Amino acid sequence: MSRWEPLLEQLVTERYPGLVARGVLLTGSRVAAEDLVQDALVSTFSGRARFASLAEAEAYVRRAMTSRSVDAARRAIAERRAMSVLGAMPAPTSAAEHGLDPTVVGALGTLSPRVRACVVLRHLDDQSVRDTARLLNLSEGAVKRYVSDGVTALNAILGTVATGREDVVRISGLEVRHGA
Amino acid sequence: MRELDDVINDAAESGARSLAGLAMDGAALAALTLRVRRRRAVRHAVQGIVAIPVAGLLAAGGWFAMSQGDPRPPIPATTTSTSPSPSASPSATALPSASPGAIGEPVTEPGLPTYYPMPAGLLAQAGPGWVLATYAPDAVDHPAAEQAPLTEVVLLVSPDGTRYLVRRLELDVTPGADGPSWVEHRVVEWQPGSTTAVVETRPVATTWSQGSQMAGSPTYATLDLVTGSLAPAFDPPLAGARFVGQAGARRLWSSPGGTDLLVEEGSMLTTLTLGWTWDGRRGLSPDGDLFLGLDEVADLSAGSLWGSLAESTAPGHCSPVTWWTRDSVLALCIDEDPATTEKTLGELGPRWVTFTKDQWASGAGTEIRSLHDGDIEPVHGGLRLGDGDVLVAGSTMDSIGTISPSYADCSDGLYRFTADRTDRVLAVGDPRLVGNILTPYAVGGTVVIEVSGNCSGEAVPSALLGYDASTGAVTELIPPPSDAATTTYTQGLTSFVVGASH
Repeated sequence: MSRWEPLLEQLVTERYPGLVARGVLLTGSRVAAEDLVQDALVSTFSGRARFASLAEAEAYVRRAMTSRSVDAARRAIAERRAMSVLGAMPAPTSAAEHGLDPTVVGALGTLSPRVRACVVLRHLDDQSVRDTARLLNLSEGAVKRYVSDGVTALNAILGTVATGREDVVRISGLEVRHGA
Repeated sequence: MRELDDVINDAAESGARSLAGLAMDGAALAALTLRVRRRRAVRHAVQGIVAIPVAGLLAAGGWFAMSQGDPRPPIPATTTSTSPSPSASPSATALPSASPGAIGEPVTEPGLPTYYPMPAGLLAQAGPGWVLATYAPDAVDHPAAEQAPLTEVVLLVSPDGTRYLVRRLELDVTPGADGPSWVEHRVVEWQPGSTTAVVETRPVATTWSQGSQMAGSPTYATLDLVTGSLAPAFDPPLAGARFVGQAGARRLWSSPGGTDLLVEEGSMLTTLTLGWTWDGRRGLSPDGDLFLGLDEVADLSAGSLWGSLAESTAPGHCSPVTWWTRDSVLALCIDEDPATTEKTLGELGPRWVTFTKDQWASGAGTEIRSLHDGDIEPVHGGLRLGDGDVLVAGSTMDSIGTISPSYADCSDGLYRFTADRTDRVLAVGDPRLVGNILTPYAVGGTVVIEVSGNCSGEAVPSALLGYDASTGAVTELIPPPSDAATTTYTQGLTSFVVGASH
């Protein structure tokens, strides 16, 4: 057995529920979340990265899930657009199915895939703007704008306040600071 | 009022707790592990595939023989392939009329396609259209995830698909902590009738993080097909460079990493940055003085580049497919950069456009036709059969197709394309297609199609088909291992050269 296989098995055994929960936040559905986790695991362990620890491998899988969720959602949106069905995300499945707060899952489901991915990376994974931009192949300005839009929308739905961050958005020459 | 971070994190954590009993069962984990093994294996196999176009394209300048003054072959009336059904046993009727020796009984061996023992003197009788190939079956369903191929052989294949075992090669397997290391060979030059061939020798090592990969620089040797002896042939101009062929007096190399084309002519070495130079199938122009890269054309005589097509056609985007005429390139163009747009392909005005050198610089080409639902979009590369007559692996457009930087190379068939019609040569789903990556090559009037891999990224062994451009007939030349139904192979065919006229 190769040395990557025990690590894959350990990751699946110990972290699978947490990864699926994260996938639900990204996809709104447990079935889609499990597909996303498995695709990210295959992608991660097929790649060139070498992991020194379980936590390192898990972090890699989490990032892979986020970036893959954008591609998957784009395809799904295009398919639905072709079928004249509106909606940025499949209708969230019930809390009984995935165990997550349906209000939060539903609120994230109102965001576009890229905005949702930016918010998850910044506010769940605490990734920097630069790392988020690199991971999603976006400019740092775009990340700041997406996060700003997403946080505003989520706060309105969830009745929350933004966490103190220094995300700066330039709008027509005006510098607007969010959070802080 | 709660902070947003807390709410999101609480949702994730409570979700993880409520899903705590969720587990992947043993079968699912085994399936996942097999997917990873195949993906790790395909990276190894893809390197082999990359070498195949080189070998297939560059057989003794056959590309030029076909291209110069080539009459445009007629498009067959039928749009379906007319090949006989694949047979497990090769035909015994393929020996040249001056048969040099008695043909023996067919041999079936694990990991190899059915073959005949090599009759004495057959190499000298082989003519244009015969194929010399290397075959190194590698399987994943063994106790060790990464292991050396079962064997490595050289096969000689007649145009009707009769296969002969020329000889076995020494893999020189060495055990290691992460897995074995070994040496594989790729045939890169061979003249039909010759008893020698030039082979690329490739050290392969297994590492924990990357699976089995090339380790060290390839070297080039002349293999005596009769005795098995190896003698140095020529050296790369720099360490790690890979031979991609001969264009007249010029020897062409791909730099380590594949981004540069190294043109060696006598003692002169010119480096031309083309982005991607391993893909010889669409590289050389019909006259052999130009080389088409990913987004550039290199003028081999002048040692200069035409410039970036993507830049000259911005804010739209054009991607070269293959040579259209001796001095123009066929490209697929759309209205926006695929790396940034979120539109579907149908919304981006896809169209076939040709570019001469002047048009390449200006970005204003000649539109051949626009593409709509049901039309064929090229998926990866193409092959010029004659002026305005190309083979492309493509997929049928639908309105939901997306353009994405990460889109997979999924084709649904091989198509013959002219300015006014498209005919399907092969459809994915044909039982002879073991994969869905279809790559055509032409040498001296012989067209072969390599069927390789799987666009989902999983490894499957390649196969080689012959295509008669005048009749549309398709012949199975080299199939996957004969026991592929019971063993999961990721590799079989590893290189080939199609014999051209002298």
